[in-house]
Amino acid sequence: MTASALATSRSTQSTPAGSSASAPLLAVRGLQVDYSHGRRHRGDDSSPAVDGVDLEVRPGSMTAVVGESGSGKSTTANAVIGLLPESARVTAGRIHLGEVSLTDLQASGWHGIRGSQIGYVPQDPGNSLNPLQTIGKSVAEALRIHKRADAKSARAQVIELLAKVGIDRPELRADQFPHELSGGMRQRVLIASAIALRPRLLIADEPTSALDVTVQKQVLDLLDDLRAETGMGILFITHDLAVAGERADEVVVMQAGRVVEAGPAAQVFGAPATDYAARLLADAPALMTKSRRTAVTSASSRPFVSVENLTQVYARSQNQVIGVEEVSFTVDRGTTLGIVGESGSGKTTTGKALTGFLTPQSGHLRVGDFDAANLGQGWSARRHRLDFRRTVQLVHQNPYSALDPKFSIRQTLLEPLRNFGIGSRGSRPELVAQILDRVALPSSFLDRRPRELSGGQLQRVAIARALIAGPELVVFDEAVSALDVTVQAQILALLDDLQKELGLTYVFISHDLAVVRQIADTVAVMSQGHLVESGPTEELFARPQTGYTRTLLDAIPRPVVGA
Amino acid sequence: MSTIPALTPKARRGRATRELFGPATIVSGLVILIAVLWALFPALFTHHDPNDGGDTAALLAPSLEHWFGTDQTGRDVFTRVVYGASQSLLAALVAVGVGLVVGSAIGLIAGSRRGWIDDVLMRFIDVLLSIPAILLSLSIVIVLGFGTINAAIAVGVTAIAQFARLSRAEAVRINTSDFVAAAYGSGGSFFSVLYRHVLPNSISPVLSLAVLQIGSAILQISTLGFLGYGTPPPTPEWGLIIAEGRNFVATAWWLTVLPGLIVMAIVLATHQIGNTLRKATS
Amino acid sequence: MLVDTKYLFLRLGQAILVLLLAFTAAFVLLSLIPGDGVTARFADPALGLSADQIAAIREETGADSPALSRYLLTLAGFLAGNFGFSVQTGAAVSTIVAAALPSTAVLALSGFVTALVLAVIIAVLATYGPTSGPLRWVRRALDATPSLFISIPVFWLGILLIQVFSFQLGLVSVVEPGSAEALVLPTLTVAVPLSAPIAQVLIRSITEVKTSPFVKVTQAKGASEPWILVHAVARNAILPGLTIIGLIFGELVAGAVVTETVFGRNGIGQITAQAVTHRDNPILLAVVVIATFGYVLINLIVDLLYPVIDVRLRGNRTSTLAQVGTAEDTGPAEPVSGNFAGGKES
Repeated sequence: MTASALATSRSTQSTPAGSSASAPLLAVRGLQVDYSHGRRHRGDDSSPAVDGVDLEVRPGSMTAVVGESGSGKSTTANAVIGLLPESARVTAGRIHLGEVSLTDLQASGWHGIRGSQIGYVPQDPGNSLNPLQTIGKSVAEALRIHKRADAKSARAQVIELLAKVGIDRPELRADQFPHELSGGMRQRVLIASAIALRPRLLIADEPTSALDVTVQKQVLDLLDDLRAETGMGILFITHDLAVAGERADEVVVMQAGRVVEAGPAAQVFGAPATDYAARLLADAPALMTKSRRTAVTSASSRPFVSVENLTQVYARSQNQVIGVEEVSFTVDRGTTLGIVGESGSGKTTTGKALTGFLTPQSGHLRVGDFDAANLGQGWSARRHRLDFRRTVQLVHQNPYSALDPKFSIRQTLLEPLRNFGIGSRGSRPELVAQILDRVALPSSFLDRRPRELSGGQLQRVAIARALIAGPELVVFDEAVSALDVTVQAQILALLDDLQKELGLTYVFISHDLAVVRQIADTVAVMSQGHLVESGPTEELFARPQTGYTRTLLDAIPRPVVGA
Repeated sequence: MSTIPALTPKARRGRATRELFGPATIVSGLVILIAVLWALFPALFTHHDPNDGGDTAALLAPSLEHWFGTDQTGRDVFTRVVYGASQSLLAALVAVGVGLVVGSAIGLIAGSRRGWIDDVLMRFIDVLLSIPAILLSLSIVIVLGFGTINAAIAVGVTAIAQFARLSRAEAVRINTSDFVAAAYGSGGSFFSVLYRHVLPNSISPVLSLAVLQIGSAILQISTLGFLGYGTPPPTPEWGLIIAEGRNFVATAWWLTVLPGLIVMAIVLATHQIGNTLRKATS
Repeated sequence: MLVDTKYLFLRLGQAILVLLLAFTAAFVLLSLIPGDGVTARFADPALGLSADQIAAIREETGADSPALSRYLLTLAGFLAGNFGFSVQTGAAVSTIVAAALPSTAVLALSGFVTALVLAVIIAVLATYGPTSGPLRWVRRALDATPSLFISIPVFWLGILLIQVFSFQLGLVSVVEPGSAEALVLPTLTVAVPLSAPIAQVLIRSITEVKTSPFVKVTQAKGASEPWILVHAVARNAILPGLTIIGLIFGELVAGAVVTETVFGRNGIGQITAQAVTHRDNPILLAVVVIATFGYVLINLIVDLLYPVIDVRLRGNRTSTLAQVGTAEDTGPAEPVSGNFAGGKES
């Protein structure tokens, strides 16, 4: 069952859900969660309080709770399954699972609910399965806890469950350990163990955010199949609007602990009623149907960046290369090349080689007049290397680790000026002030330390540091992946402006096709160390030439818009 | 959950700051302050002579006049404990200083240069670590001779390994961080990056280890003193004071129990402060 | 196969190298630097030895031969179990050590086992003790216990125990106790400070494992606290404990040396203390080498045990590709934690 069956399930469920023909499976009314004193003002943004949350999940349907980090979406999920941290309390509101009032349950009462009535699927960051337990034992755990099976009969059920979630060779897999499985497979195992007792409700807390986009699609398809088949309801927690829009029947948008908008998915996505939801939608890259950019056709005949047969192989097995092999591309001056690939595709290695942080085993790398594959050794070439560094700058993925925590913003921005010998002692403060203004940060930030800034602000500082030395090429390695969509959109707009103003050339590395589509003039798709396909952005998105690119594009979630 | 839970440094800082000024830490700070004052100005705290009991009766039980009683020659035990602070604390500082300077130099170089230098230095540290500390310090004492400073150096050598391992780990961690890569990208040279970024960011865990180590150095030095290899009598030293009292366990409990409690309180206080600092800086 | 042969030999070679280097260091320290131990000892006029006699002794002990040949001779002797002769008594060091070893081994073993039991009790109560109700202080008190225990001077603890149990309560006789009775207080003296680092590590690792995502998943399956402790937490929390067991061997030796001195028990600790007092370097050299051998051996065993308990370490030491391969379809993971999404360079 797949696309067609899914379509039927969506059409059958979304209408009665709206007309409330069936009683809700899960009903949350006026939920309020508070953290006991001393907890909140610590600024622990990852677990905020929740106030006045209403939501419903109907049998066989999916309700998605969407929000940025700190919106309280996970706290809501934790309250439903009674696994709030010790410092948190449900202070008001009711949660009903069918006839059972979950808010009135004592510890012993939960025993009959968790696992058997409510299943829980976490995000898999690699440690949601007991690392010392076989897959089989993990899946059998719920059966054993609820005494539904002895060790022997559990095994048969485990294999059946593993087969059901689409794991190949289940007999073999049951005896393997979590570290021997890929992320996608581990997520399937987690689903298998959550549905072992056929719960009525499944809570999935960001179940696919750690997965590559093609694997995400498979896992989401599996969840769709399961609810169509068993009639269980799913409470789906995600920060990804596109996923919610594509899969959910009902959407609940949360911000700062409150529900700002709720309703059938098509309605919320078609005509958002609140500004916040509208802004979220506008900022979410996957929902952009078209590139913002108009392709720049360069007049110059010689591309600014030219990479030929770049090869840096760390390891090799069968048809898989760790590193990069025979990668070639060019970037025209003043344009942006997006390099797209899933993890392990070699895109980071390419970025390192371009910025001179890695001398490749073979191949030619030219940036302007520099031979980036051969910058020279020793003291005599130092001036040459410095000139190259000034011309080519790298912006890292994680803004929290890319700035020295001991340096003030001023010191961070002064450092390249001093190292490159730009300006004089007297003129540097003016240069620093200018660049800060350019990335739209107030000058009051100069004396702050990184810990006093938010992720988006930090990334602006990192961009300012890259730009202050007046580079011509800037390489962004997943530079917006760690940011919430709204901040992401702001940074992308900033990069766009800066490029136009300063005539910069960008290489933008990302796993996120939608982001790349927004910013890139040309795109190169990489997979397992090889360059699969490249071309102008809109052309590549409209008419992908290879099967791999098509798979990648198909896996991008697309919400159903319009009621 | 998803994005940016790493804001926790802020949260952790808050918690650490509050713990930094928590009651346990304040009491610990006071204990250490008193010990330091004992070491610097012992005469402010007692009017007895630490080495000469005069004609005071021997083995007097604790009283208002003699808080910790008197020993077999009529010396005031409290006075001896107060005067012993300078020997014990000085020795502990020397010991930690030796470990800190030598250990973190080795660790920083090994962790920043890597390659064969790293291998050689770390094998050396493995060897230091493999010889049980007490035997290593006894071997050094036997070569250097008995005495406060020699015992301190011996204890310091045994602390080198820990400092080296920690500072190497820190140096490696900082060297592989994005901001160091970015500093090279901003045109920094090896030594300027080492000095400006690696050293300042790796030093604070090492310094809090130093505070933690003061406590165990006090213990180790008093052990050497107890065994008779530290400060020679009659100069008071905490281990020695307890050793002298052990022959009277049956009749004069105060000779051993009370000085021991003082040592324990001071060691406990340094551990408390060291642990708080470690949490605040990690 | 649980441990691959290549790793086994590599680790074994490393252990032998460390042992050899430690021996060399101790030899340099105890036999070379003091210069001429024989002259220092026998030229003492009080002994009344003639120059000829001294020369004969020098000849016999090889004191005049060059450093390298002395080193090689001593090394060969150690390999053959011949540790030289005591400067103090002239007796063979191997005989002295062999006589003292059993009693120390018994003390060390009983102290270690007691420390382990104590540490597990402290750690479990400190992490699973009552969080509310009239007994909640128990949990907090036990949580603070390790830092208290680690601050106790071992020698003082021994004296205190003698005072309380022998003199005040009269429970354990100091004069002529039975062999089991004689072991009780020394065992406690060794065990209490030793339990502290183990308990500390266990408390930390239990706390960490308790908050890890897979425990939450187990909770979500409806598991009770005891079920979680037994099935999910215990094995995972033991791993860091295993490492600390290797590392506290040094503490164990220190505890035994001091305890034997306090209680006047014969053993390695006693002869070590006497050797230092009389500057009997050959005995100290032997003790250092034997203790280092013990440390290296225990850490070797712990390292080889690791893959048996931690399945993640089995067999993939040689293949980095296998590890990379398992992560191949995992995305940029936690956006913040991963520096480079691919992680291929590691």
